[in-house]
Amino acid sequence: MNEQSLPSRTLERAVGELAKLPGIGRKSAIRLALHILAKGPEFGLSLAESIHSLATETKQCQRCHNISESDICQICADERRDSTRICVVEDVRDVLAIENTGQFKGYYHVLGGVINPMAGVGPQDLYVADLPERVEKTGCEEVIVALPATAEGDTTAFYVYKKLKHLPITISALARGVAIGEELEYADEITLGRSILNRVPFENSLKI
Amino acid sequence: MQIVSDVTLKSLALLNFKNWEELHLSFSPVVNCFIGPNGVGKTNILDSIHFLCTTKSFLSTTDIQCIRFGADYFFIKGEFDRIGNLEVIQVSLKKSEKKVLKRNDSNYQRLSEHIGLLPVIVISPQDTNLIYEGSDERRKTLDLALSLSDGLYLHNLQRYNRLLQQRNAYLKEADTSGRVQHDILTLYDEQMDPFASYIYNARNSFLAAADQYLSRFYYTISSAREHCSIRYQSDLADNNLAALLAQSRQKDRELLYTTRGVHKDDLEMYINGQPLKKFGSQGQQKSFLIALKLAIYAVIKEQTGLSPILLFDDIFDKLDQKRASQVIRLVQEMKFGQIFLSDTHPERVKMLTQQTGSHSKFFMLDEHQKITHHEA
Repeated sequence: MNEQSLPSRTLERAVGELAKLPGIGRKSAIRLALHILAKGPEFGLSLAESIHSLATETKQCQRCHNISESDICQICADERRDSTRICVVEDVRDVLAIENTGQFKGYYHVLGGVINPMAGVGPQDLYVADLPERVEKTGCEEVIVALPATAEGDTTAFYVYKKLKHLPITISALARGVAIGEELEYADEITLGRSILNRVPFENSLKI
Repeated sequence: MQIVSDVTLKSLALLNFKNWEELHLSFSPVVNCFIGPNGVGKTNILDSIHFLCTTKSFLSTTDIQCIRFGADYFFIKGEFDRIGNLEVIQVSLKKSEKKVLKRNDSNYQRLSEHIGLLPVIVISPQDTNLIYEGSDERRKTLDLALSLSDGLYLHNLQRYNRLLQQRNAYLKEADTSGRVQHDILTLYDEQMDPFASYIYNARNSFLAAADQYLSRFYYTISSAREHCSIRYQSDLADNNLAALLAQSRQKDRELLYTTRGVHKDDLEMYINGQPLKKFGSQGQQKSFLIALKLAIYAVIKEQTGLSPILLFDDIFDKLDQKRASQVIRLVQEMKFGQIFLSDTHPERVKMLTQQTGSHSKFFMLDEHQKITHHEA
């Protein structure tokens, strides 16, 4: 299919940039660009400004590698949190997801990915080297490894475990089991099997 | 003799599947025969049943090749009776979209969750690939059989294969960048180890169980008392995977792939102690393959308590009249399940089903795909 050339080079450039975004093809990019145009200059400038400051003003937290506006992110700067627990996650979205549960009051450590040689990602591309030192220095007693339940997630979790196992701390992993509100009949066999193997005392299942 | 099995296909609907534009059929729970000239689409009907049970064609066709020429999608729907419950399975594929599989109108998240719900075994002229092609053909057949009989097997196999791909990618990457971190390779070796053990043990016990049936089934089919056996070949017989990979690390680094493991397993076939490929006659090989498939069938039935659906493509390709009826008799004596078979000649199929005296349905296909059917 021949790509239709656009009537303006400026439009062409904007479309080219938008189409680099995940999930956005050329057609969607044209639709977005035209929408921005139609909304008028104020809308476009505000959008551009927000992207500009996103690119220039956000930093990465030096401690946990979360997104931050200062050298230390809001979570790491919050001294009321539980300094004995660190939760290791793949990326920033996972921090948000766990924060939304309200169940975790410790600190985070964002790896920035998982080990995936097929995608060219090795351990040296992750923020894992600084983790043992951080654990030792901060008086952490437990590291919770909260990585995806995929082959890559498991491999990375195992790698993190190996880097920490010499330390006198507890290393735990997320429980895997039947989802809340799910019928057993429709639970997949692997998960249900895991739930049976890792069953919990009934009293624990009552906690909400 | 009336047999109503645990898993039966009650009806089938096809749209744009291979050479069928539209087709609606309902079946006997016992024997169903498709009879018609070559190239009319008998095998494709059997293949669509296989597709419903396994989400794949049993012929070496890709999903996209199953779309009828000139159409842009295919659709298969089957109504199954599974231990008294109605299961409506639908598979559809649109060009440039993902394959969709539904069970009772709800989508599967993962296609692999479906495997094992509806066990199926196919016997077809393509089975000679098991003798003449490479070991991956034999592993494929074995893996499908195990996936149908063991709910964890496919998951563990997929995990193993994924880790294997990652390990191979790492070997190549480390070679390009010129530095290999041994702890990364050790990481993969240790991650793969428990999956490899599971796969090894599952394959080993499945094949040992199948071996028990082989000579007896062969005798029923051929009336010849030959000793038939299968032998499982695996690196894991010597040691666990982590130890094997540690031994072969240097070699793996030179060749840039993982040289040992269950992905190298093979199945060896022997007749009277001699390799079937070299020493078996054409007739012996055909009888052996049918006996092997029926042995796999018997083990799946034994392990799941369900009688798989049996698809017998081009039944007289491998058998003469007498042997064919012995096979059908064996299948019924063993209380095997529902049978679908295909052939070109109505007379010999009718004789076959008369001998067995069971409730059969015949679908006569003419060269314009017109179907007349009757029951006997």
